[in-house]
Amino acid sequence: MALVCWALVRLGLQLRNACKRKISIVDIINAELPQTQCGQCGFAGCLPYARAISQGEAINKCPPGGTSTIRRLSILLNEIDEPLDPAHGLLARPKVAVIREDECIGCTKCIQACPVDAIVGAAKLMHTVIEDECTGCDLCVAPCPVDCIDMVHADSRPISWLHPQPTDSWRRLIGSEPAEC
Amino acid sequence: MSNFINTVIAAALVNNLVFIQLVGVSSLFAYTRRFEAATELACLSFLVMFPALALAATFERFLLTPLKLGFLALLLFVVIAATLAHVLLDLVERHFPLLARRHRLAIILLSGNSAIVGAALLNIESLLTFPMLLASTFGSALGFALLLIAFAALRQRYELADVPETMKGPAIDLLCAGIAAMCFLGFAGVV
Amino acid sequence: MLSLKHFYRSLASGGIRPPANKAETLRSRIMPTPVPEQLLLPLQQHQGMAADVCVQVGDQVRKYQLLASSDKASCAPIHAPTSGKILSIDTEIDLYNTGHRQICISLRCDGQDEALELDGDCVEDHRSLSREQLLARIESAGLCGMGGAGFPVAQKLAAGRKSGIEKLLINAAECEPYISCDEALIRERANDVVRGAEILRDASEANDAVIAIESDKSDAIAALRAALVDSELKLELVSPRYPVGEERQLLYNAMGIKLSRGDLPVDAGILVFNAGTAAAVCQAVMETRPCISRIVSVSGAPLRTPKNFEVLIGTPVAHLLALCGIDHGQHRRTIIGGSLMGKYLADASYPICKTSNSVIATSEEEFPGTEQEQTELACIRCGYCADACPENLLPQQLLVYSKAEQFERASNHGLADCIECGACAFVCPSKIPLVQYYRSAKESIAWEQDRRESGKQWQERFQFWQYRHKKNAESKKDRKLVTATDTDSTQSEFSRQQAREEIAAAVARVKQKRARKKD
Repeated sequence: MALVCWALVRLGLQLRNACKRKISIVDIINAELPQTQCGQCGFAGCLPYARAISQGEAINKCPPGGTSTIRRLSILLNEIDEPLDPAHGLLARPKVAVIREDECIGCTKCIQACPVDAIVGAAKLMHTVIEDECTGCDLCVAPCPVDCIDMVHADSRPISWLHPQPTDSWRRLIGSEPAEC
Repeated sequence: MSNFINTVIAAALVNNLVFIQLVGVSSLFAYTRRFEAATELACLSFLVMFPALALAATFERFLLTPLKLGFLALLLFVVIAATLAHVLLDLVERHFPLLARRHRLAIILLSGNSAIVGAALLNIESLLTFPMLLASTFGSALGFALLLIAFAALRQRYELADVPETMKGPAIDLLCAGIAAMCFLGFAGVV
Repeated sequence: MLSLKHFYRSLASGGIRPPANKAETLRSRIMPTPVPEQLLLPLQQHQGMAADVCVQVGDQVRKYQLLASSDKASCAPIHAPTSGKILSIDTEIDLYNTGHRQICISLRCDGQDEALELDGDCVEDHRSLSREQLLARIESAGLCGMGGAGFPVAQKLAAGRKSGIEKLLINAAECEPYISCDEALIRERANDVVRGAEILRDASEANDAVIAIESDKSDAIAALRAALVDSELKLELVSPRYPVGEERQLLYNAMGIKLSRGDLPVDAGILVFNAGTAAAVCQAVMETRPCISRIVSVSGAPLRTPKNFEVLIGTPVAHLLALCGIDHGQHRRTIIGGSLMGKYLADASYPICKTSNSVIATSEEEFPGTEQEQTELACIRCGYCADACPENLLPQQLLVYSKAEQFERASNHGLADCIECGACAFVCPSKIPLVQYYRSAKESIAWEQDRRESGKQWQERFQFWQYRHKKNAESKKDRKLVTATDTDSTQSEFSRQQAREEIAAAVARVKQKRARKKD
């Protein structure tokens, strides 16, 4: 009897230690977010939003993550799989910024705005976007004084082309835009 | 020993709380439709339910009945269930934050769970000896936990099925619960 | 005769038996094709990297001349199939209408077929060459797998040598309907195949080599038996059943080895090569002849005389269809690579690649509509798909999860193991295009995975950005001091006021420019 009790206590202690070593809940939620750092959710980046979610914030405020992120979060947090909150933006296919280089005046404003340092260039010299590093967060578009930054669909690159599902439901996964775009 | 096992099976399956006694039916629909989450929740509710029922039976047998305070039973049971549920919530929040985030609402709801209170009230009327009563409460809690898992699995299955538009939502939930309850009648001859 | 062992294995791994449709192409011998007017040579005809062009527009090239090569291992060089003039080196084509654009060299043939002197001596026996020489000859010939997937042979051999190879499997089981190029090849050049297999065995340092062929190809089996008389190679007959020719399937059916999830044959110490590859290896090593042609089955109802052709790489498909007497009224679309696993070719002027083993011209009766156009009915849970699945998966369950986009569950049910053979869709009475759903789900899973990977990278960069800004803010005071004292440095010339004026001027300039454009 005593032996069984001792074993149980040992087991309990082990469990506790295992829990202590575990990464925090915020990190687990943060790993599910798309890390575009765009701030469309109303928080300053993905980590603050993850922290808010861990405290009970709604999970449907992330347009870049779209349906798939909401689904993953709803499974993780055992919540209802709600559609995206349109107040924070609409579903959109992933985009990347492209600078029209002949119009760029080299003001470095977009470089300062980019949260992931994906724009290279120097003062009075042309800037350009490193396509692989660009999260498509839109943050560089507003500061540009000459409006020379375009957001283009990342899907136009062949690497991210997906086979369409016969019912086209893949579009719901990554989000689709009206036909005229 | 076989007596105990018989009692456990009888309480868990033959006289299943939800499907046969019809207490706490709401928990089937309110909680979750995901198998994994339901398994966790079933463990948690077992952790609340079995001690709560056992405590309730003890208090009832050795305190309320001798003192002839039977009218206080309902109040006492609710207090026990609520206390245990909050102790559990506290423990889970401290040690398993993710689990707490997933099931906070469900654990709070457990404190006023009609299944716990109902089962405790039903136990008052039972003629079992005290050890047998404990076995019976164990079986009740087990049956409830089992049902949570089974019904979540069932819901998950028909969630993807091609259900007619008018039957979607609560309608198909209730239908399936009804059919499952009828299936549980089949356990009637087991013990 | 099929042995009991192989019969049991065929029972244990499902599959289907579609009508073979091979008799028409096998009626005649392999025909050489006349040189077409123009050839299109894609730079990337296989898995891996595209080769770098090493000729220029307007160059006169001769047969066997190197057109594109690379020092990367995952890249096979490309040679000129005939003599002629380079028209362009940047023609873009989209072979299967998938958005994957490929760059091609366009070559106008002069019909002279002037060949370059092949360097390296012809050998009678490959044993006179060292392993390194064998590998070098195979690599410089630009060989890649001719079964369809098209892994560069030299790279496969190198990978095999690194991890240690025990056995070599030559895949002569050609299970797809309509395709008979390997069967025709073995029937006529069984010696080449056997010698190629021996070369590959010695080059990969394998102890043993097995040729696996389906038991119903009696002519090819007889030819192989005759060629194998004084060879140590073994012949295994497998049950004729689709998709027995698929790599994993063949490993089980011929050798009884079941690969675990995600493993390649190399991980089990086995290399698998196509019979056509073996014959090409024989030519590459014995005669140092680069890979400039392959055998292609051209078949289908709208063709008067379906045939197996020996085709120069880069020949337009339309040229082959014309040689077979195509009835344009009946012809709808063209499939490359087999009716079940193949893809629809976007344009008939597109070329034959090193991996294209067959061309099927489809008619309306034989192939009614495309997968998308067919009306998909509800799943009636008949379970035929589960019987047909060669990988013993549960196609119904996978379909439900793929449709509902529950990708985690689909993965748990082994979606990654699906070889996309199409057996389930073939037997489906509701005409559900199951493979399309699986393919889409697989790509979505990969896409999500990719997105998560890049998310991690972005997170790191964002954290660094935050760290830098914090640091900058802290050292701002110090910097102010530095700029105040350091007046003659070039940096201080860039004052804030001046910068603002410059920006304003630039904005005005751009506005002017735009206004002018509008006018």
